[in-house]
Amino acid sequence: MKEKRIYEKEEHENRTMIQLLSFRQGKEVYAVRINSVREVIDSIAITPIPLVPHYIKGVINLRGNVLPVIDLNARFYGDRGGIEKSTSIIIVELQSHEEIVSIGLMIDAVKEVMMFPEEEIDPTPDFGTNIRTDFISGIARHEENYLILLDINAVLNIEELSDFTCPDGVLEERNG
Amino acid sequence: MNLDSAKKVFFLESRENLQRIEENLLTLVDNAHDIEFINALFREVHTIKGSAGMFGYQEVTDFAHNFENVLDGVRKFEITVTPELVETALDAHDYMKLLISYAEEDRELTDDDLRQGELLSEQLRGFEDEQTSNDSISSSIPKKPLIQKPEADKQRDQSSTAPGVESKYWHISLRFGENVFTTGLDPFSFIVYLKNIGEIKNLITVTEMIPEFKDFNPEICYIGFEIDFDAASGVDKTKILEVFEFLTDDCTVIILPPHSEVEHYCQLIADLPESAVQIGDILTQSGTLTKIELEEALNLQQHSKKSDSLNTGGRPLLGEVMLTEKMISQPIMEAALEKQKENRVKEEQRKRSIRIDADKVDQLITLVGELVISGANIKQRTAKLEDSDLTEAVEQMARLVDDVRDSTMYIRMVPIGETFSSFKRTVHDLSRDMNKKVDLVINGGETELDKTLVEKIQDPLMHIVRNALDHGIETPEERVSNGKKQKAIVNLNAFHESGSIVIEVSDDGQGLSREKIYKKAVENGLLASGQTVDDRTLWNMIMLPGFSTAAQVTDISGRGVGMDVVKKNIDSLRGVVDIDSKESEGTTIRIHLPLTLAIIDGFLVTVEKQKYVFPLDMVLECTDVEFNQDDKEGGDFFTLRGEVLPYLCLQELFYGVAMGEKSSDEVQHGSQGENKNKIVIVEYARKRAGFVVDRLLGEFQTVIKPLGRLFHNMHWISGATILGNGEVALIIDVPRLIEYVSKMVNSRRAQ
Repeated sequence: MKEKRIYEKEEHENRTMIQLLSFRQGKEVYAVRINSVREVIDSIAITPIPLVPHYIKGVINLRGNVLPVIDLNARFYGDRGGIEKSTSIIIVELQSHEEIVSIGLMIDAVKEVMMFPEEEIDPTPDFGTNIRTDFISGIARHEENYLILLDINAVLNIEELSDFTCPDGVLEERNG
Repeated sequence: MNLDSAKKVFFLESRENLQRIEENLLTLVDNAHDIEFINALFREVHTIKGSAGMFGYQEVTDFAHNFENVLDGVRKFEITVTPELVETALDAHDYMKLLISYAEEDRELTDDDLRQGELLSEQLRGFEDEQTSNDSISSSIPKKPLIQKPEADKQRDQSSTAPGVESKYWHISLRFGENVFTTGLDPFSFIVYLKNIGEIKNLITVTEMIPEFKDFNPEICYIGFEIDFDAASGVDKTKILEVFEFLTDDCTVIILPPHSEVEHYCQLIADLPESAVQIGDILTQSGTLTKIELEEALNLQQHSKKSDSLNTGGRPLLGEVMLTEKMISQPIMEAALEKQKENRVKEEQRKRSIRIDADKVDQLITLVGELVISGANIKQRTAKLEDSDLTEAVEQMARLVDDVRDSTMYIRMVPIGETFSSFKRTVHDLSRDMNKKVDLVINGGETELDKTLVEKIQDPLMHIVRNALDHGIETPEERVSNGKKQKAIVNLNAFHESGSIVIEVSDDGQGLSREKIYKKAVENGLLASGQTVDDRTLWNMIMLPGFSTAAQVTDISGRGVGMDVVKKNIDSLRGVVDIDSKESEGTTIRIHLPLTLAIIDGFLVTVEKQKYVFPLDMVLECTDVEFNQDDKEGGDFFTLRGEVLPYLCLQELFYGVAMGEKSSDEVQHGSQGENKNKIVIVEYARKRAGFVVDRLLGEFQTVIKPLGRLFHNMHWISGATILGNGEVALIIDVPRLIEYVSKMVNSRRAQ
């Protein structure tokens, strides 16, 4: 496998190659740049947290560290994603407020890791996507299919994700 | 030791010295005649001057020299301590601090800084001039009395009727003492350095003390030097002595000015360890003394020995001789002695303490955290095996792990006293600026808390203290007319209380005005006009954003960004701020902080199958309570042994399951009582509340794992922890929820 990669790199020597991790979410195939991905784990026990927005699935214990898990389905389409056999969690590292934040991203199924020439990535179309356009950094054609390249910093924007209210607000909502 | 690490030590020690200088200056305000403080001050400035010189920080040395001169005048009661002097000295301290921090950061001084330094030096010299004009002896000499003094001695020597020796050179006798090598000093380097300020005309190595070879120890310095020295113009005894500043007290340095009286030489001979004949030989050999002068000296010595034995019954101490003979000016002598003493004390302290990189401690704490978790895992698994020997062994290990945990946490604990002391200056400066008279009283400075907490509490405390001075304390006139003492008291206090550390700032000022705050609260729409509200709730409103009752916005506080920032900072430390005030009697602001940040004893419960942890420190008791519908209608209260407590049902809050309904958990495990509910009674910051949960699982030791930035807006869970089986349990944010409960209760009562 390693040898093959080197081979690929040589073949496209004069082109800038980027490494992507592609995965399926719902009916679409998405990809993220691999340099922000730390690892991919099987869906393990997720501890739910009360009174948080539904896109926060909960927290997991990753080798002694407690990490939050974002439900990508909820983040993209507004509905909670179900847990299937293929459900995986992509552990992503982000820079936020001068610290590295690790977040789990719950997705339906991981597909593959691939090298992709950067030139072949087209800019985001203004319409025709099912998700918010600011989540997308580009679209690429791959094996007869479209691959939506995600801007992981927008999808997992900490400021936006952490902007939820305290119990007073939640209670008022519930009562009213 | 390389130069960099030596410099690091210099900066560290200078900072400590500066802090002591500041403290001593502030003490001086009220104890103007206490020679202890003045001596200490002189010593500290002198130390900085000396070490800065060693590292070549010329600006620091020069400035410290000016500073030192003034302090020297004070020591000798030639300059009186006035408030102006203390102020200037404080400014001088600040400037020295600036110089040193610039040196540390390798920054150049700006023109402004230089001007400031010049101005301060000028001011300092101003105090010296005052001294000069008071000093009848040296009134003819315009400036720098300290340096002029020895010359005055010289003049006296020359004009005295006693015959001086012919030698026109200074005579320096050096005996380094046995231990000079072990202190890392090279005797030769002093001689080399001496050449910088003059010419060595004659040098004789005194080898009389070298023992026979079989007794010879290469680590001991046996030799001494007799030097005839032609000092460059402008070099006086002080300058020559400075060369030998770093020698310790078992070294003998005797300096005789040119044309000294024979008497002095005889004293010299007496003071040196070698026999009189040997020294005499050396002195004549070098041409310091003529034969006739030597004989005279030896005769004199015989004579003085007789009179000595009559007077003191022995040889006078070297220091005394040197002083009576004015061979060394008193301040230099004392400074040297004090310095040596201090160095010894420091040396001993250094032996007992080590400096550790904070990261290393953090790493250790993380590891101990992991150990605690695996310990809990082992304990859980052993419980299933029902092997009593194994259980016992595990129990013992668990106790050890507990101890390891406690001692590890203890490494990070530092007393808060230093932080408290830093407020002395604040109070001093502010009370001066505001024309108020304030005494700062510090209690419980030895109370220890986590180093991170100490650092983070500094700013909020500063704000509270400023507030107390600005808004709390009245002007002296007002105080007198209100029948209070002119001088107000601000109290800083720290102590432990039920699993938390309490830091109190109290003043005996005018207190918070109920009327003003109420008015403001109504204006801001926080209260309806005419609504009744208890004191504490009202006081706590001043911590809301944009809430300032100060009629006048001052430079110091009152801009409405005060207490809310304080509260926010304390919140982020999982602490709570509480205000207590009585009009015209004073205000007390109490900060409750958790003991540690990393590991806690927890109390494990379940709510809707999910595991939650209460910090055990805050748990008072757990009990079954039967709620009847009547209670519920009066608000969320229940009565426990006559005490009415507010409560919160966590099922309802977290999952929207009303308390009457059977939760899925209860159905599964079968609950005994129909309306019985498990309730955990907690207390924090003197407030109590009950939390209704499903099941009680018991005590559990736990490591707090932060939830990170994503959850920084969440105020009901303060963190997470990992259970022995790898499961994540959430830690209930008790302080915030208690606050929430009481707020909710108050609003219901108000309706």
